[in-house]
Amino acid sequence: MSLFQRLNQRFESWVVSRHKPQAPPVTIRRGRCYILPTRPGYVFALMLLAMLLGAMNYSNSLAFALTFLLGGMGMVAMHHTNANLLKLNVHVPRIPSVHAGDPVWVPVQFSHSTQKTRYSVLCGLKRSALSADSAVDCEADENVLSGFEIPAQPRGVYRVPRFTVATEFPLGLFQAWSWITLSSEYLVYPKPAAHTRPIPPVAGERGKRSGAQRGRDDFSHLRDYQYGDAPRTIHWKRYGHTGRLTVKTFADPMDESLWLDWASLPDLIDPEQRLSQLCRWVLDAEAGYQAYGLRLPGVELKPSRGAAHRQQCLEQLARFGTPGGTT
Amino acid sequence: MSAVHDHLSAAKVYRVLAVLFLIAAPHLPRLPLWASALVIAMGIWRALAAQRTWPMPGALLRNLLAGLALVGIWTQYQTLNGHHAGVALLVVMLGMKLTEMTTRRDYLVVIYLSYFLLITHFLFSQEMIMLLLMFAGALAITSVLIEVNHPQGILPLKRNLRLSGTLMLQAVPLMLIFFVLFPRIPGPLWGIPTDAGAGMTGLSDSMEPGMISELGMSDAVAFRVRFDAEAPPRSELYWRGPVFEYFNGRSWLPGPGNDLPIRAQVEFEGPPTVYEMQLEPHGKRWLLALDLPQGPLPEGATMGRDLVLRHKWDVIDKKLYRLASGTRYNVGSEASERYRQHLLSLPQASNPQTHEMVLSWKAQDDAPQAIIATALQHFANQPFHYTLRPPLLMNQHSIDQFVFETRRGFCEHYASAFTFMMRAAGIPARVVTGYQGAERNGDYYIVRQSDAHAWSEVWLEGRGWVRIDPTAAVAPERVELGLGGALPASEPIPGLARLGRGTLVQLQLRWDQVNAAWNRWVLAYGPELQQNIMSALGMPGLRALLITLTVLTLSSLLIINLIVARAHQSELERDPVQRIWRRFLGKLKRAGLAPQLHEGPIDLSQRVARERPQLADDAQRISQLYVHLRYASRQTDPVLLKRFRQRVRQFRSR
Repeated sequence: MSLFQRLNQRFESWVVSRHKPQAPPVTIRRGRCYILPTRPGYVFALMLLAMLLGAMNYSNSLAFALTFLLGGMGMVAMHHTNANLLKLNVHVPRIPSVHAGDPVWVPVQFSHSTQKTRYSVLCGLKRSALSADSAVDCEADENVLSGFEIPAQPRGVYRVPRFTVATEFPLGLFQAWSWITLSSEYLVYPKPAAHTRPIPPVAGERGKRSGAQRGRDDFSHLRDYQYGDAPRTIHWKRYGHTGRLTVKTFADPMDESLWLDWASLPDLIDPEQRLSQLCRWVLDAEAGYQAYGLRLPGVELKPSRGAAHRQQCLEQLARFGTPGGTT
Repeated sequence: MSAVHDHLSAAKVYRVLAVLFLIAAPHLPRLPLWASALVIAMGIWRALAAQRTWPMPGALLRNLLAGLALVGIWTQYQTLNGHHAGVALLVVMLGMKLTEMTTRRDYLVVIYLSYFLLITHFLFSQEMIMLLLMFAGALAITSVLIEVNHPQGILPLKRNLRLSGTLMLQAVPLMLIFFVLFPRIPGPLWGIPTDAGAGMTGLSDSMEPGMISELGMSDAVAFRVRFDAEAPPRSELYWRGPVFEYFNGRSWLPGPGNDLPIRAQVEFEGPPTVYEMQLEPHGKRWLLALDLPQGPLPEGATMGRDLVLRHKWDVIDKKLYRLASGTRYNVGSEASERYRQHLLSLPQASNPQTHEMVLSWKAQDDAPQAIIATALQHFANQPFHYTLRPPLLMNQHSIDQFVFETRRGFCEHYASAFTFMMRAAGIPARVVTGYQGAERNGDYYIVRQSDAHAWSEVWLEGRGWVRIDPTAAVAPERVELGLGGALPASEPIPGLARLGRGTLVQLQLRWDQVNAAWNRWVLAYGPELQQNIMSALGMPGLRALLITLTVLTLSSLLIINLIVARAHQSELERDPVQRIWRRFLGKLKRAGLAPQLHEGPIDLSQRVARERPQLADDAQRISQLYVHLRYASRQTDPVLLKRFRQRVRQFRSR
């Protein structure tokens, strides 16, 4: 590691020690905005030096003038770059949760109430890895969405890592940046296991699992007509529209609820594998027709259905055994 | 073939190419035709490639093309050093770079090279119009640099130019500060290319018939001069240039050792004439001076034994220098026997007729004064004509042909023939070229190329070098009135040299005054002028210069920072009412009455009244004023605002 890199690291760790996680949105303040020349900036300075030497050699007044004009523009651009970032509001709305193995997309929303448009604002995990794809222009009183990706992580609850908001606009000679440390969290659900184990036929609280029986009370969903279906269950209206015979099915949630149980998988010794399997079942159960409940050591979610319920289940799986989790 | 994955959109590529063309175009006439054609073709091809997403050529083809171009430049100029070859190389290589201009880095290389190309223009011209090119060029290049740093869509041209224009305008004060205060050092750091002075008009380093009459056709300014006191009479305005001591039968050339430093003591009569010279570049080393400079010589100048001032380097930039000259002088006892012989040498059996005639004069009276007088009378009495269009002298004995046949000539013919005669008579003599006369324009004088002149100097025992102007014997008006007075109207003399001139000429003279100021204050701005300015400000020395430079730069950067930051303020922050209210809140906070987030101004004042009854009145008034100013009307009442400010200022929490 070169001296420069080491100094850089020392500086970063010093800066980080000053940062306390904040609840979004965060406004970039003067004291938290850093600025350094970029590589093209150093090359520009070298070019100016060559121009200056040429001007001195030929005692050429206009060459001096151009050199000083460009030098002045470089210095002025530094202030513009810095101002391009100041008083910018950075907000991270809810981060969509993912399964382990998938990268996390962190949406970053910029806004400001000053008059000057902020051009080419970048964001990314590291200062060294800011992608031009994340560049956005932010007009006054406008919310602009950008974001960056966090590489795939194992299951768990994570705090948004400290990330960088930067800009090199207008001349690319300087990079102004700020590190944003937020208190927002996001979840990484377990990676769903392969489709090797069907959901075990565990009995509900009352009654037994009886796949062949159809409930009568609650409308559940539509399916294609099969030979033997009672004519009164046929959705005639739909037949009129589509020309296909479909039947209405009904379910009794109490009767047919599934229990996805941690304890039903004693052969999987690795807890992550168990969670992975439970995750697969949650997804499959949601795709099926029955209500399902989840039992983990210390956690029990009553059988239900729907996106909210599924998310609750997955969240429990993600939090399981973590400091932020229930256990 | 690599596929095009262009960093910039086609629209942006067009802008880069347009800017590149703007910067390169003034150079194109200077380039060989094939190079101009090549660069333009490359530009067109690159624009089409951007439009139709053609692939870029492979590395082999690229290197081959670049190699060929390099060889082409080399064969054209026989060198890669020098202004012309260097610029040609830069332009051609920029054209080549277009074939691999795809990544951000490539674009930056092209843009930085464009900045460099812009500065090379000033090696060729520093006219005032170039200032326009400098600003336009810097603006255009910067605008595409902004595009490269804006990876999203292309910015509207107006917006882009406003951004780059703001940057440039804010940089102008810094440029001025640096221009005036950045320490200037005299002389070049390394050499100057040999072709730097090519194509500049001026006196030549040899003299043959027809040379100066060619210069006589040119209106161009040779130098401008500003006398501290009254100017000497016109007949004394002999501006000394190159001196020739060796005759090869046709041309006069500088003798060997011409530039050896002078050893003789020069004695001057009468008070010196002090003046400031603004010399136009002429590509040669000599510094023109009123015959004969006596005072301290300018920085980097030396005087040779031919009494000519020479600069350390070729004069390829405008030079500004001060001199003191005495028009009456005596160059004492310098003339060793060897030097005398050198000053008498003539080619064997050259111009026999003239030689014979001079010997016959000498036989009558061999006193040098008498021979000189006879020679001058010969020119005056015989039908000699002064003309800018002398017939060509094709004869091997050109002086014989002139003296006995054509008898029509310009100053160099007379100076050459006279000097030959003197040498033939055994009087050491040499030819001096330079300028004669000057034209008043406001508070300074202009000397043009058409004032170029040649005369003779003879060495007389006891008196040293004496100036003899044989042209004056033929056409005394040349010295009294200048070229326009000495030549008939039928001669093709340049318009500005004629006597009695119209408004156009008057306008041209006005314009010359502007140019003179530009030359004096901008182009000739160097160590001397800088020191003068700093001394006039009472801050001599390099240290004072650097300290002033630093202080001024930092303070102007601070001002720019404030301007930029102000532009980035929100409306709320700019509102004076809001600013004053925040000051009030700050005072409360220091008193331990920090405003709560949920509190409006009225709630706040009520709480203050509860917690600090002694502040109740003040706080309530301030809050009411604030509410009124903020919400009662759209326009801010200045009287109320003033009262509000006063109350907040006077508010004491204890």
